[in-house]
Amino acid sequence: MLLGGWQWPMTNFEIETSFGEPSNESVSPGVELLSDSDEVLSAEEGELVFAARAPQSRGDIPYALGSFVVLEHEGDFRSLYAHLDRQVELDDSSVGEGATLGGVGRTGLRGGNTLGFRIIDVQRHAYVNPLSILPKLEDESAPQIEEVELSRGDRRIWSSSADEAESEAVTEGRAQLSARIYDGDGGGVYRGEGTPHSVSVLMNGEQEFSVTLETLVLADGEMRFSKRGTGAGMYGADERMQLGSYDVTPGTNLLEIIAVDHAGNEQVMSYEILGETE
Amino acid sequence: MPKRPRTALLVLILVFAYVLIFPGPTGTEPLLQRRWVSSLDGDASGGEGNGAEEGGTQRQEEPDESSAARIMPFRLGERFGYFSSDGEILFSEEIRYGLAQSREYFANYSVVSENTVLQSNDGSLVRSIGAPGYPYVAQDRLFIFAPNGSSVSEWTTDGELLWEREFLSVLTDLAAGDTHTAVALLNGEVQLLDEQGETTFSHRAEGPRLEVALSVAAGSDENAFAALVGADPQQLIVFERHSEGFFPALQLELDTDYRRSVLLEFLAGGDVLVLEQPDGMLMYDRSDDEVTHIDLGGPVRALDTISDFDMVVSVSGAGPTDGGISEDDGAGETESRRLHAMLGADGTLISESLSGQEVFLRTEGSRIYLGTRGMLACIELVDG
Repeated sequence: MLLGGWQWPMTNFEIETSFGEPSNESVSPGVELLSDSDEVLSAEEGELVFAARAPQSRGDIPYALGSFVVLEHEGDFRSLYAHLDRQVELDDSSVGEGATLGGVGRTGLRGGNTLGFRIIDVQRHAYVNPLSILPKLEDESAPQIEEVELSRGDRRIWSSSADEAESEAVTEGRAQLSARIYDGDGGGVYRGEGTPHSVSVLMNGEQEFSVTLETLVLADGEMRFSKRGTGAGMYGADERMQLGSYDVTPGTNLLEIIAVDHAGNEQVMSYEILGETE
Repeated sequence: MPKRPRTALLVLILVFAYVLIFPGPTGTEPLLQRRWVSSLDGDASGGEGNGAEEGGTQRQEEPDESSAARIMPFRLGERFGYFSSDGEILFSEEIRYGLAQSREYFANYSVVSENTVLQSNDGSLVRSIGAPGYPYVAQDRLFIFAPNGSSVSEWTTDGELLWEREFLSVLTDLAAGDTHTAVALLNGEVQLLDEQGETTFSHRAEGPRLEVALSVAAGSDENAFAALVGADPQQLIVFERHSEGFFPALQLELDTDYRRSVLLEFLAGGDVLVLEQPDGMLMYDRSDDEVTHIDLGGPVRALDTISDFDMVVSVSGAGPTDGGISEDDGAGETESRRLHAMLGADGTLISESLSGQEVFLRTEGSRIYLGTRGMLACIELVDG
């Protein structure tokens, strides 16, 4: 789905933090865009809902997002622009598309020239990944899948990076799968690594796990990816993606992991895991 | 520029205000008596000369040796610190980026705050709490707002985590009672949390075209809280606890169109609610269910009460705002605030200009502590 008429709120930027990236024991509900000097523009025509100024004054709470502005748009979407260094004084509450909202700033726990940008689906009470619905960013490199591991409890029983001898003896039974999956720098889209758009896992040809990093909702006190999969415990303490539990059966088990980025680039990694009876 | 003329001007204003309010005793009228004026930079004020001068403090009377001086926090512009009730500036420091402050401790934090460093009111280190975010003190309770803007936690000063909550929506305001906490959310919801941080009551306004909760206030007990919600129209709702839960005791549609948090505060132990207005404030008295609009000539910026005299002391902006979008209240550089003292809701005793945009106001017992332009002053209300 693309939101018609919407634009990115800056012209020159890199994504410093991706949607769904682990962040302070939760996951990021938006993107953090890094820019040298760009002004912050409204992504679409809208109406001012809320404006907060930082640092605090008059007993306001200290806004962790710094100075921020929230606009409401047609279709029950809202956009949020955080860490502004200044806010433009608006004459009234209506804001045109591409109107300057402020400057890229250093407020709200950000030391660099960063814009925190979020899109909120009001009706679904969900955060939406801007990369899924704003104009596509040019990215020709496929996501990376590394350090694939099976474990039981805290014990690693198989690893894609281990030598062959170590990975031979996997006793049958349930095991947890995890991996490091990221989108590289996407040809300059990301400062560092980004999150993929979707990840799915097939065991012996059957799809057993799928997650799309498109929307985030709060469920049971934590942020979860809502579409086609679970986000509960998506990342382990080491920030590796947790990809579900699987039965390792005696004989050859074919494991396939497929990761797709927001530009549609696909990466498929296949592994043969030899299972043995206990 | 020499400082003495500026401080002398302030003292002159304070004395003028004093004379204006109570030109002389007329039987049972309360009298205002100036106790002291202190300079934050150690420069003693230039008073009329009949008081004792000591360091940066000029006293009208000798300090009362019979009662121990109390330590109080202040925040004035870019500076904060602590002063004693007899006028001594005990500690003063520049605010780095933000400040959380109680009577006993403070956290003066930078824009990137990975830890909350608590210091006692003399500046010595208390402890460091390893939680990223911005600290906030209300009702002597310590909260930390997490970087995502949607999470808040409560801590003891010993560094013990009491609870933490993540909300689906961004926090727009928080108010603390003695044990409970009220939060306002960007999605229009207001929630009341118990001492474990669990939601005991939530409300989302129906009616306003735009769903947003702008401000909350909590009474000191758990029996009442209030919220400013929505836009087009904007609503003030006061919730009171009954045997079966919370119910709106007041639901008032307003003419305002705020798109930001505004001053919303319970006074007098929760009996009176005050809401900022473009030209002053609304006062809602829970005891008689009466709403009174008070024109202060500009939006209320700070207020406190002197309960013994049923007096409300407030500071307002110098001119009315447009009621919503802009925060500017037309304040100039030199004459930008007004001090008001009222007996009850409509018995104005004084409305006087104050020099300086940043003003500190606090009352304690029968004393009014007032700060502006690098000076703190104490005025006491006594029976005439």
